Parts: sequence; C-alpha cells; structure tokens
Amino acid sequence: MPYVFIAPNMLIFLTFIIWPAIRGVYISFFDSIDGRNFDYVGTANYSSIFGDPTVASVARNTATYVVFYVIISTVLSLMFALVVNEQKFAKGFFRAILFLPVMLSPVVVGLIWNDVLDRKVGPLNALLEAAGGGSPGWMVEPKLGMIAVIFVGVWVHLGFYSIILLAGLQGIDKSLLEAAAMDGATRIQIIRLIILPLLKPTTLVIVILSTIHGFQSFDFIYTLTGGGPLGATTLIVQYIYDRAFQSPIQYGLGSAAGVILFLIIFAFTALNFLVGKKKNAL
Amino acid sequence: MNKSLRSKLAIAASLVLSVGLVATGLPSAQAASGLKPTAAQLSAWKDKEITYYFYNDSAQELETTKTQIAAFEKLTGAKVKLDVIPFTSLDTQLQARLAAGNAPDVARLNNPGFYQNDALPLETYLGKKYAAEFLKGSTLQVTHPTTKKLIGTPYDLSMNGPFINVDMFKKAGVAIPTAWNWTELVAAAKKVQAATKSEYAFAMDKSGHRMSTVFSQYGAFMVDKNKRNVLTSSKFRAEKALKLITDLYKADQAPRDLWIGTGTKYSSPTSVFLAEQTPVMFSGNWNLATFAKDAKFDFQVAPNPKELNGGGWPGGKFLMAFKASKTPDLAAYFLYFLSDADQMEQMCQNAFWIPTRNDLVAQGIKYPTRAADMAVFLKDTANTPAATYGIQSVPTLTGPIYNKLRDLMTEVMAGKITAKQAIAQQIAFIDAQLATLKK
Amino acid sequence: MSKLTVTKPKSTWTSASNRKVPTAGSIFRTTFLLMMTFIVLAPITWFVLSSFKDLTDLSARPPKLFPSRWAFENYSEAFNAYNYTRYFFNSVFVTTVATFLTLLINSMAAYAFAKYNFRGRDGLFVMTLAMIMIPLQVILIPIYLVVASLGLVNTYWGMIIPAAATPTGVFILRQYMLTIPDELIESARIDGAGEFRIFARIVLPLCRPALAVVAIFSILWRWNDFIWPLLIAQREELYTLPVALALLNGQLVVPYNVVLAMSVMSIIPVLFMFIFMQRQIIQGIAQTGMK
Repeated sequence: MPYVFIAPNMLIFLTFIIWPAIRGVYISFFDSIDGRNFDYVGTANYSSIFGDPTVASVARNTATYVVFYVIISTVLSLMFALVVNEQKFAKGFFRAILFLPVMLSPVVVGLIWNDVLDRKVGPLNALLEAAGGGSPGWMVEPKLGMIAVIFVGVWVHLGFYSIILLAGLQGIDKSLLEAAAMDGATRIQIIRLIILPLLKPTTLVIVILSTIHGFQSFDFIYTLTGGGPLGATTLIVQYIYDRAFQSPIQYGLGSAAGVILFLIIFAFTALNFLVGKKKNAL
Repeated sequence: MNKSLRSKLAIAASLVLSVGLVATGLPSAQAASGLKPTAAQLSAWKDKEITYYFYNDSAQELETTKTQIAAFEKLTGAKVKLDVIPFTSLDTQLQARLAAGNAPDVARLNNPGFYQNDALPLETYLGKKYAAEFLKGSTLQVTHPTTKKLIGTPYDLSMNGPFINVDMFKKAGVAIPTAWNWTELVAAAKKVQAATKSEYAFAMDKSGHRMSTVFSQYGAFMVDKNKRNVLTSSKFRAEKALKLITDLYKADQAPRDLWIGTGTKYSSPTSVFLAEQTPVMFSGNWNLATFAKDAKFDFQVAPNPKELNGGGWPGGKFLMAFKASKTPDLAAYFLYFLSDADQMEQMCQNAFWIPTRNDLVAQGIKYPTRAADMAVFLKDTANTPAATYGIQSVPTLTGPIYNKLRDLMTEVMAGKITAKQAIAQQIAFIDAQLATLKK
Repeated sequence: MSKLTVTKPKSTWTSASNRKVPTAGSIFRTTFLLMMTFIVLAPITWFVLSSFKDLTDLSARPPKLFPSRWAFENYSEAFNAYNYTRYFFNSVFVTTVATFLTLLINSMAAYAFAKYNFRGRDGLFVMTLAMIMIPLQVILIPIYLVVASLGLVNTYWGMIIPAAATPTGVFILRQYMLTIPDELIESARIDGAGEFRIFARIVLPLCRPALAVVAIFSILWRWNDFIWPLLIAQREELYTLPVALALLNGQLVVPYNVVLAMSVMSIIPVLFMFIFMQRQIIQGIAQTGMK
C-alpha cells in the first residue's frame, strides 16, 4: 500500500531526475556536438577539464563567490535576525520587507541591478558621483563585477535565511534568558553567551543552505553580467550552460563538469553535516 | 548563445562577378522555373500545417513575411505556423528542436553549415536547374560538401557598412563623406562628438564578423578559400585594424560598457545610435529598415572606408527545409515560394535587402525609399574583394573563430592584453580550430 | 534529525528585564533596520519608476528619479505589440496546475514515508533529500533528451510534470505528518476505512499549514522558473512570463521600456500573494528550517 502512495512521486523522480542524472554521467564519457551523435572519448572530458586554464579561473571564481557569499549571508542574516528579534514594534514589517527580494524572479533581479549598477545611467553611480566618489564600472571591471554579483546574491536571499534564524530564535527557552538577566548579565552578554551558542544548529542550517545556493547560482548572474566582465563572474554552472548553448557546443564536456559540480556540492554538504554532528550541534 | 551574426559567405565574389557582367551587358539571369503545384499535390496539402522557424531583423521583414505566408496559404490551402525566435537563441533552439525530434519544416538561418546533414536536398522537389537561379557564390553555403547538391537557398545577401547621423554631422559642420579611409572616419567622428557633445564618437556591433570588415579593409584576412590560416601572413595589418577599433573603446569613445559588461551575451548598440549618442555606427544593411522606421533624425549610409581594400564584408541568411519534415514536398514548395522572384523582390523593397537571385540582380531592385542608401551598399558589395569569402571554406568553424575574436577584443579593451598579443592568440586559435577539421 | 516543534511565533518582545531599552542599542537597531529597508526597497522602487519612463529618460545622464512624463504606453504596448496576456495566462496555468500536482504527489509520498514502514523506506528518503543538491543545469541536457523522447517537448505537460516531485515538498510534508498521532490513523483503520480514505479525509486536512507552505513554495518556484520553460517552450504560445522577458531582452533591438513594464507586471501577482499570505509563508519557512 505504501508503494502506491510513493509511486507517482518516485516515478517522476526516476524519470526526470535519477535517469537523466545517470544518463548525464554516461554522456560525460562521450563527445557530442548535437545531442544526437555521440563519440566515445573515455575520460578525455575529465582530463581536459582539469587541464583547462579557463576551468581553473571558473573554479577560482566559484570558490571566491561561494566563500564570500556564505560568510556574508550568514553574518548579515544573523545580525538581522538578532536585531529584529529585539525590536519592539514593526517587527513583522521589517521581516516582510527583507523577504521581498526572495520572491523576485532571477531574470527580474538581473534586470533591476543591471539598471541600478549601470555605470552611466544607474542611480547608484549618480549618488556616488554626487558624493564625490567617482563612477565605478560595476559591471565592467572584473573585481567590481564579482563584488556586485556577491552583493546581489546576498541581497536576494538574505530574507530567506533571516526568517529561518528568527524561527530558531523563537525556539530558545525564554526562562534561560530571564535567569541570565536576573543574574545581571547585559543584553550583549546574553546574546553572545547564550543565544548564539543555542542558535548553532540553525546557523549550521544556514551555512549548508547558503553553500548549496552559492554553488547553484547562475540565473541572476547570467542576466546581470553574462559571465563577464572578461569571465570574472563566470561560475561553474554557467560554464556548464555555455557548453550546451554557446558555440562550440560540447554536451559531453558540460556533463562531465556537471558531475564534478555535483560531487563538490555533495562533499561540502556531507562535510558540513558531519562537522555539525561531531560538534553535537544537531 | 551562438553569436555569429552575419556568416561567412562567398556571395561577394559572385556578386562582383554578376554585377560586373550586368555592367557589361551580358545577361546572366536565368528564367525562373515557374513551378506550380499539381492538382494532386494541392489536394494532398489541403489543411496540412508546416512550421516556419523564423527570426527577423526588422518589423518590416516580419510584416512582409506574414503577408507572403497569407498568400502561400491561399495558393496551396495549407497552413503555415510562424515561429518567431529571438536572434540570440536561433541556433541553440534549433539544435534543441532537432535533438528532440521536433524539427521545423522550414527555417531561416544564419549558420547553414551546422545543419548540412539535416537539410532536405532540394533537387528531388525543385529540379536540377534550381540552383542556377541564384548567385553562384551564394549557393556555396547551402551546397552539401560531399553530395554537392543544393540543400537550401540563399535568402539574402547582407553587407556591412557605416551609418551616420546626418543631423549631428551638419551641426558639427563636418562634411558628409563620399569616400574616406579609417583615419578620416575616426577623425570626423571625433570632431562630431566634440562639437555635439555626444556620448560617443563611434559604435560597432559586438561581433567578430563586423571586425572582419575592418580587417579586410586593412588587407588582413583570417582564413582563405583553401582552409588555410592567413592571419599569420597579414598579422601586422590586423594589429593595426584591431588597435584602431579597440583604442576607441578603451578611450570610452565607443560604448565600452555595452561590450565588456555583457559577458558572453550579444549586444548591439542600435539603441545607442537611435538615441543619437553616437554619430557613426558600424553595422550593416539589415538595420536600415529599423532605422528608417524608428530614427527621429536624418541619417544615411556612408561608404565603407577604404584603406588597402575597399568594399565591405558580406553576410547573409538562408532558407532550409528539413529532412524530418512530415510533408517534405510542401516544405520544399514553401521554400521555393519564399525564394521566388516576386516574393524576394517584395522583401528586398520592404526590408532593404540585397537580392541573391540572378534575375533580380540583372533587373535591379527599385527601392521605393532610401534608394541612395541601398546604392551605397550595392556599390560596396561590388567592390568587396574576393578574399572576404575565404572563411566560408570552413563553415562549421566560423562561429568559434568570430567569437574568439570578439572575446579577444574585449580583453584588449579592458587593457588586459595588447592588440599584438590578441592577434597572436587569434592565430593560435585558428590553427587549433583548423586542426580539428583534419581529425 | 530533531523533531519539529510546531510553535506559533510570539509577537511580543522577549525582554530579559523590565528596564527600558538602552538608547544606544535602539539607535543602532533602528539605523540598521532602516538601512536594510532602504537597500531592499530602493532598487525595487527605482525599477518600478523606471518602468514608466520612455526610452529617452532611460538613457538620461545623470538619471532622473521620476519620469519626465509618465510613459503609460510601455504598459499598453506590452499588451498590444507583445503578447503579454498570453504569457501571463501561461504562467498562471502552469503554476496552478503544477502546484496542484505537486501538492498531490508530494503529500502522498510524504505520507508513505511518515506513516508506513516498508522496505527501502529510509534509503529512498535519503535519496529524495540528496536530490535537492543536484542543480538543474547539471542534468539539463539529459532531462531535455528524456522529455523529448517522451514527446513532451513543447507541451504544457512538459513544463509541468518534470519538476513536480519536489524533494523539499516531500520533506516538509513528511516532517509535519510525523507529528500526527498514529492512534488517529489506527482507529480509522479499525473503523474499516480504506487507506486512501484515511489519507484524504483525516491526514490531509490536518496538514493544512504544511500544505500551504508547499503550495506557496511551489507557486514561487514555478512562477519565476526560467531555465526549464525556456528549453521546453519552443513556441511563443507556450512562453511563460520569465521566458518572454529573457527572450525579449535578447532581441536585436531590445524594447527596454516594455521589458521593464512587463517585469513589473510579473512581480505583482507574487506581491499580492505575499501580502495576503505573509504569515503562512514566514511560518512555513521557519518550520522547514528547523530540521
């Protein structure tokens, strides 16, 4: 009987996720330029990925993005959750506002920031110039491009992480806090010594989630910078996408890169999970 | 997204030939074959539907296509489903459809070389003599390399060249040129920019194909008709040409942000020209229709600058029918219909196309408006050197070669490498690409 | 995994003491919150204002905050010259049907995982979770080929079915169902109710909060989904809003002002949903995160 319940879901999983994933691994050992004819190349795709300098820069970009994205997201969302938690009034309002970007489609996000960050007609630079700060080319200088992309990435998801943390904060036993206050602890001390440690499991969730999101970032980045300037914001998912949608088309190579990406995400998630378990945080 | 906008066509050579022949009074046109469907075909075709995979460079092309489709439907009783695809996804979507077994019946293409083995050979349906109706050079791109049979028709010839904003030139007191070289073009553009305080002096489509025009005028070419890398022997000229253009971008006298900030995506500065932010825009005749419709200022087509060589750089679009079509004879007939003299003439007149049919070339097209502009393009077409079609000998490589050039240009503009290094890398890239052909 | 605690969020400030808030702290808090609010709202407001500017205003240097004239034709053009109504309909259709499908099959699967003991249950569940980690682009081409071989390309079903078996949905519903007492189900069985009846009449109604959350997630994902519909919808009649926007943005001459107008219009339905269902959304995510 349970099998009947599971069946439809599992059927779709198998047909549209598991089977294609297996097929993807299979394709990674072939070369194909049209998706219909496949030439066996063994591990050539994998070795060419590891020897390709473009891939090295893509890997660097991805690592940079993920590291900064995870750290900034975690810290900022923690700050926001803690601050909102202390807030007396309009708590719901602030929570809701921050959540707004989460609901935007990645295409719209890219469009918004393309406009705002435009070197010549964007309001950000207009404000900066008025303040005497010059007119940086956010999407034209490689380093600035990465900064812009990290910023926008964080901007989109911050509300999501904050809400999870806020829920975690709600789950903390109030009596603990009151007892500490009665013992004369300041609010800051309470936050530092009681709340934060108790929040560790939730924080770990945020780290894991943001890592996965970070590795999977593509849509809004592509709309924003197309992977430029000069490939500075080309992350691994775009690298895979380009193998299928930019000439020269290389489906096999793209699949191989996909397999590698999955293994990386899997490894990271497992690592995070194990570290968390070890520290008895879960 | 595949970005080879105007592909590598040998049309120029044959157009030179045929225009030259016309000039000498020798008729090279062949009578149109005048195919009409039989009664049996008409009854078989009634209410059948075919798909036309289409993209358009201008609103006029779309409108004219719709009119012609209506006429076709009336003529045959069949239905044509028009799928309008944005240019940037043209090849990727088509390849996705072919891979899915969802092929259209007829498609309008930029890169026919990719689809050689999917294309319907036309001889069966349209006869052996059909290929002769078109300019010899144009049909090379739609001739199967091994069977040597016609697998599509050259739908139009395109020619690269500069557009200028006449109002801005007049305001700056700079004379409208009747002939110039690149140095003069850049000087004039800068003068106009300074006088009118426009944002930029110059703009060019983000495309290696457009850059090849400048190469050609400086006497540099990338691949010759024997599939050889000839950039090596013309590299100093190529460096000069590259430096000329990239210097403008580096100095922000051309829209640098549009070029650098869009990564691997295509961008065209047509909106820059329409917003009167640049007095000179280097593009091609396909934009004439859009400018004619949308420009709120006086503009005209200027002759291509002449350095070592004159003329421009050819491109074109093609029609192909697909083997996978469920009604191949109907598909072939639709293709024939669109490529026939009457329809082509109409399209040329409405959308400012340059014809590829021998009969139309012989009689000439009477453009109802902007005839002077088209005359400039046609003159440049006639002067385009034969070597421009060399790269067409490697149709499957032109996309990557143009894209690599474009990417190298981006790096030069960003100051990462010099023009010299860029050309060296392009040479190496072409060698690597040519090597894949030998495998 | 820790058990899910279903708590209503407290709306009172948990004060550790009865003293008034220290001024320094509240200043910092207010500043921080206002700053965040600005960073979030400013770009969006700018965007909405820009959608009312005509092309000249859009390329104005320096940019002006308000349009020099309100270009309502951006919006009307979206309907007239471009097929906005169709795209909107497609988005609504795909989102609605997909959400119903997702709710149905996810809840069924979650019920099996939560309330039955069967061979392979834990293994299958872990596998379900692992799939959250597979980014779509990685399996994009193989999925496409599979969908193509099933003849689902260029159909609504092709856009709806493949993503319906969301692992997150299964997970959320399972967590919630775990808290439903087994006795309820047992007694229903004793009363002679069939398994499916139990599921439909007893379990599902109890899961309303979780179902609401999954529904909301599904609506959000499907409404904004871009890559998959882009691949599947090969004819303009099937384009959903994000696809139409992305393709419009790739035209030879981008009608930027219309793109802006369409983008703004595409945000509105989601915005409404958010305003009305704020509480459920936030509660739901909070409860998910508590895994």
